Amino acid sequence: MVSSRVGKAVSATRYLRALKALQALPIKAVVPGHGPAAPATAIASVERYLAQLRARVLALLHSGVALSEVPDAANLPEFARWDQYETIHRRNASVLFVRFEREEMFKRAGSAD
Amino acid sequence: MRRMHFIGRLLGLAAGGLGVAAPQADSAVGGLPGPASHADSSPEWESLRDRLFPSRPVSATPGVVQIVAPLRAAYGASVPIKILSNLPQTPGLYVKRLTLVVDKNPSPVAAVLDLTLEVGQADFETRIRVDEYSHVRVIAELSNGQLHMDSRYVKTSGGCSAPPNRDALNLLGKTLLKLPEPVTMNRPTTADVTVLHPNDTGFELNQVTVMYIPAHFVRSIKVSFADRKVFDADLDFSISENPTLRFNFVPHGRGELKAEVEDSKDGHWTGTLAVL
Repeated sequence: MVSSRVGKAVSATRYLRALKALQALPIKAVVPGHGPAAPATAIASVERYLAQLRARVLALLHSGVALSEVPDAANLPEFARWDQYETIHRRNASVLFVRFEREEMFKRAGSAD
Repeated sequence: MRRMHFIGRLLGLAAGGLGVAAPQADSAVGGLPGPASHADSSPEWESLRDRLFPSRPVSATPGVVQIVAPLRAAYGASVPIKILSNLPQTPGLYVKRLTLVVDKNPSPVAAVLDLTLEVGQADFETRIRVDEYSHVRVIAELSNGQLHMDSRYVKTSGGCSAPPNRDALNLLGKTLLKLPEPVTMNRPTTADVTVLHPNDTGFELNQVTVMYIPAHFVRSIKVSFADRKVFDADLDFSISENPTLRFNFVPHGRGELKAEVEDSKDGHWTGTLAVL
């Protein structure tokens, strides 16, 4: 189950905050809109996935890896068995890479003023 | 029809949003079109070729120009593309023009690069939007009039579904030049130019107003070094947001690398970088 498609509409911080808030609730099971029902620990694994994804992509960006190499280089074996990992994880990594890169460009351009 | 498809893709992603992964229309297993080979033509290309290069033979024999693209592009809004020339830019024979085409995009001609000898080596890198499974091709026109083509088939998931960032519109048009590697005199030296720009396609629906966000994109980037033209790029919204080009130029001494940018709403910007 990859229940975490990174998107544009909601910021990563708000997403993480929502996951934290969910974990504070007395939830017994998660019934996702896609994939089978899962125990409440699924929320924590999504959180862990997002943290690892973020850390890996930042590391790749700072090591100067090209966007074309990101999907393979961002491989996270712990989550490799998640449904649609091959499509969604590779895409997530690329989306985040472009986003972090953009943030750095904006910083650079803004400070040059 | 294609426009509807494009928009449908956008809405699909917006509805899926962030939470639980929504099934995506184009991720269905078995949804792949029949076996497509990299060298195949397409009806779109056939019709485009007649308009771009009427009654001129386009050689697809490998060797002169090469395009590098991922077969499975992870993120359709930013597909990295490399164009490699096997021909050094010499006065006797050189690559005069490169045309980058995405067969099935709503506006298939992504870029036309008008080159001089000052590029030294006609290699380019950029990032493009690929709306749906499509061939991506480059056509090199040599100074002797010959046309050479190379193509790759690209499978994408997401097409144009990621709305560009509009959080820093105060920086719109800001043009950054960068030298990723040390400068070598009288040798092709790599440089990057990036324009901060959402490069709006005009196919994106504003979820609040239910109006299309008008197209607004970088039309051209003209690059010179020490007041000598290196290349002119005519671009389109098939280039990803914050359009970027990696190119070569041959420095013969110190000078200023300059990029003059124009967008579809008549915005003009200039980026410069002192070399040495």
